[in-house]
Amino acid sequence: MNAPPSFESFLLFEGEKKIVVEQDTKVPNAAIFTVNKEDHTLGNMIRCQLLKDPNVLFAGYKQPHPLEHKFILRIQTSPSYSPQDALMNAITDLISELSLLEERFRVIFLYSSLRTNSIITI
Amino acid sequence: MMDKDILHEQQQLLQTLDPKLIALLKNKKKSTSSSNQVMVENPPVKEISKETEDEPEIREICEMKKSKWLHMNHVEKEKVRWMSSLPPLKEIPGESFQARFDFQGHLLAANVDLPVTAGLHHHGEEPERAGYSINELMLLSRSSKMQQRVLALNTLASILENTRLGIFDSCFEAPLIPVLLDNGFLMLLRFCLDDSAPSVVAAALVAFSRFLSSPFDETCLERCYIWHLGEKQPNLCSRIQMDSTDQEQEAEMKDNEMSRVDVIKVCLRMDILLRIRYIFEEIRPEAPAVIAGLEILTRMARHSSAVAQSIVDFPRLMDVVFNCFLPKDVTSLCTSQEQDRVNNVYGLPVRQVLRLARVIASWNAELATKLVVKYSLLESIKIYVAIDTVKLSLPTQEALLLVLDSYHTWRTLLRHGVGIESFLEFYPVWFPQLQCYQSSISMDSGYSNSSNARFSHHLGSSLLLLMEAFLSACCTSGSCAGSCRGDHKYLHIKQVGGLREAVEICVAKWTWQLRKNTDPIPDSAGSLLATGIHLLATFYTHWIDPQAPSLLDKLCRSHILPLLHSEPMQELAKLLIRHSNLSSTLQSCSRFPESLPSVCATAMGGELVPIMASSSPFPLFTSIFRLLRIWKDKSASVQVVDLTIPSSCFDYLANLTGPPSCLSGNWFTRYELQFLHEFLMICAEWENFTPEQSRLAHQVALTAITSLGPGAEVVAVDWIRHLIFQKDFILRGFDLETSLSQLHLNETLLSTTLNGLSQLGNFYSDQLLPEESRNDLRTALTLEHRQVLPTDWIYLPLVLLYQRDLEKPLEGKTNIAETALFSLRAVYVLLFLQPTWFFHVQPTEHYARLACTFLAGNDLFLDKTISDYMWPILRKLARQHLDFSRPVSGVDDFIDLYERLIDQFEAVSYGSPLFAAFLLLPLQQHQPVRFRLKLWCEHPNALRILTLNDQQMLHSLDHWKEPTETNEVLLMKYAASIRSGTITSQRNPVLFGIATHHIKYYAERNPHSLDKLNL
Repeated sequence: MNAPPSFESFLLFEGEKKIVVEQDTKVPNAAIFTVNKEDHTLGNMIRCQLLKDPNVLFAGYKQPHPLEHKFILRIQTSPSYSPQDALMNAITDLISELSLLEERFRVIFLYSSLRTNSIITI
Repeated sequence: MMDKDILHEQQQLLQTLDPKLIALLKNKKKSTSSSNQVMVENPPVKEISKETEDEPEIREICEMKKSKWLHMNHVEKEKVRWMSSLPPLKEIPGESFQARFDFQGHLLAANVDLPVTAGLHHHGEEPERAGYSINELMLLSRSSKMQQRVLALNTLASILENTRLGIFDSCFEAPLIPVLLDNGFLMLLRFCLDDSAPSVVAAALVAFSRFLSSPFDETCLERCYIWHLGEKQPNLCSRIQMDSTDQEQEAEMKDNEMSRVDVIKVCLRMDILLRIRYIFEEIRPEAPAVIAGLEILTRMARHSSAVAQSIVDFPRLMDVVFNCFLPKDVTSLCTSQEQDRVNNVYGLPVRQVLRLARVIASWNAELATKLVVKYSLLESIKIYVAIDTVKLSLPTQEALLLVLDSYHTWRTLLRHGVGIESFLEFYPVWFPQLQCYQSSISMDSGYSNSSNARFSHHLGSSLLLLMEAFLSACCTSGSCAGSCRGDHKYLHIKQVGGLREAVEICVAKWTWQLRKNTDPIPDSAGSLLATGIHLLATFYTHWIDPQAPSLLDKLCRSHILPLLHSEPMQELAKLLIRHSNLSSTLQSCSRFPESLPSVCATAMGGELVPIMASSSPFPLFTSIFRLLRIWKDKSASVQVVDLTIPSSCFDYLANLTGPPSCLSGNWFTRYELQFLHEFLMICAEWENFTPEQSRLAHQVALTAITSLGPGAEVVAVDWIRHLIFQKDFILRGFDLETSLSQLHLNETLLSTTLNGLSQLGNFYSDQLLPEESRNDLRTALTLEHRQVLPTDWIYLPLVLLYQRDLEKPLEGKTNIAETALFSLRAVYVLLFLQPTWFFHVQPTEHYARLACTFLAGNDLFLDKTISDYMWPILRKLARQHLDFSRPVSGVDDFIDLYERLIDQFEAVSYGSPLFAAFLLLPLQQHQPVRFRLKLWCEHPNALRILTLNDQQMLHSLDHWKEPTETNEVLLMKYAASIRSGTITSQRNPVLFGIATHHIKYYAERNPHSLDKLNL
């Protein structure tokens, strides 16, 4: 009926940017990142990664409304560092961590498939 | 006839009759008596005589069989059982027992021992107890015997009347009326209304009217008419709000479902109007039933303008009512002989019709005009006003009340601007009457307490109020265009010439009499004088004339001020406390269902609400203060006047500073609030009061503003602007130098706040009572009775901000910060100036409202100006006894609110110390452990960013350390958080300190537990 098209939750509108950065003027060294077409899956992951960084003073995100497919990430860092850098670092770390995970997963999967095959052959 | 005579007659008969016939008869009798003797020897008869030894009635029967009565030779035990004497009264187990009533509707005690001749014993359940229960009466009202139906309905009517009076308030397990409603009492009454016997219909009509309305409430509402603005009527619509889906389904709802929502609508549905019309037209019952029918119509008309409209539009209904009960034929009205009781009211004026007309006309001008045009209401009123009451063929009391009712009804019409011309036509009648009052009615003529003397006072009040209504109708009606102010043609033309002079002479005379009086003044005289002063006040409000100020000056200086300073007024002021609803300790009643509200003239237990007691001094004081305020407004020379208000008035104010009374929402409290308005405004406008008195007035304004009802929006705005946020008034009451040093306040913050007070007043009045809502109800005559402002009105802008944010995020709107800032300023000022008032509301409620500052928008609390106000407010709040385990109004569950706060803190706070400190308040050791578990176990991310230090805590850190923690789950979480590095001593000094403290003490007590904590 009047349900929004299902692709709205992951396809960017025409001309829409994935990430918009905005300086927060109320707090020093802080920035607001609006990430479009993403939800808690990515938001929570990035926030947790950011909070592991000792130079990040604050990292938090919120989804303004469950039907608006975006989240808003706020980052504040120590003066020697910038929120953009913190985010970049967090993302790089996350990617490497995830590829490690993937790699290990493949190894285990391969191993177990080998074993199942061997069982079958026996 | 003596025995001797009987024997003599017998002899004579024997002589005249044929001896053969006599012999035959004698033989026959012998044979029957012999058979009878056989029966006596039968064993069952002996048994009966044994059994019934202690039942004299049955023994009597047994003895009777020895006599010669026909067919009495066989005793049928079962059939004579009912004649046996009552079983003895049983002790009632437990405290509750079946309620039983006598025929007057009085509840009978459980062990009351009434003689059987009272007719209250019967053979149903509990035959030993006298009286009928509600169930039995309802059953009896459907009996096949007409007399029983009438009796049952009459008894039910009396019970309902007593219930409405509040006599049974604490007697029953559940209030009677809602229970009756749930059990289909309305249907029962409807069946009875359709009965074929007229007497049953009449009884059913009376019972119906008692079910819907109380004659006592109506009388109280009528009494208010001799007060200024007493013509305002309550809107008794159902208090249950139907949402839109319910309204769609309304047509499908069953009657019994509907009666839980709105009783009057059910009455409309069951064609009660049609039935009443039929009864009036065809059955033509006697007076009580007619009056009951009119009372039902009145109560229905009070529901809403739509119902009033449907009553007026119902075919032939109003024609019948007006033709039969408001005759316009003067000759038929007057008869020579006076009657004490009238049974047939057809063709006689019935004053309840005037009341019905008033209630209908109160809704709006259209209905009022319709009554006047279509049913020529004014014609009837004019006849009754002009007629000599002695000549009316009515009981004297009724005739006098009829005249009063006519005045009241005309006043209601005038308030809608209807009937102005007729009033002027009648002016030649009014004026001599006024002169008569001037010459012959004195203040103490009510002493004799004869109804005539009281009546002349009441009539005088009604007349003066009618003229007052006329004056304001002229000055506010469309013909005046509102701008001419006193330049109005009616005020200067000859027609009302001499009005002011005449009333001034009356007032002067009465004030003098009152001053010289040593006895307390009669009740009715006080309201008479009050109405005179009100008339002058209205006159001077609208009269713009060069000589007006000096005339007013003279009036006030030579009459009003001496009266206020006189001894009798001091005495009268002492009565204020006793008649105050706002300081009353009576409980409000809960005997009415939401679907059938009432004005509740009686409080819990049937106590009359104090303000309605006849000796109430409020009207007189209200009028004096009102005139003084107008004087102050109009005349420049007032500044030097030495005004002393009786000290008892301030004792009265001191009584109002406590938490609001249960009766503050009562309909009749409005008359006290009128007084309070004038009084408090005098306190603010005149400068001759001590600091204590000013402070008291300020505090009372804060407390009483929540009692104001619809129609008083203008008053609320006045209070907010000129009392609560009025800098000069506040400075008069508070010695800021000392309070600054005592409270260790930031001087600049307070002074900037005080300088911005007028802005605050404007902000609050615009936010809470928007301009458009104020004037609608000012002239409305029918008003809802609820409260305009909630008790937490001071937080209302903040809460509204939060609600708007929930609906649609408030990003980038400029006025958010301003709204929040103004609210916090108001909170700040009132918290420091009136702490006792402030904490009538429990501290946790303040916490919940202040949470809106953090939840509305994303960066409100980051604003420097906002946090400047938040810090001192929160520090003060933290010192109060916060108890988060108690429920808070407006918050379903505190833990949900707390969860939302943590989420917001995690998402947008930037670790703000203000937010962090606020978040830590419910974590103190004496608060429930679930708050600590919530934060520590479910929100590790929040812990990481809670970076405030010791100095930023709102309260001493000991409150978070003592008593030591015993919850093992929490202790393990403390340890785990430290171990995982979520909290570190550098980043989170406070949390780290708290966690290590508790772990240390726990480890000391349980040395073996260290393994469990994994340290």
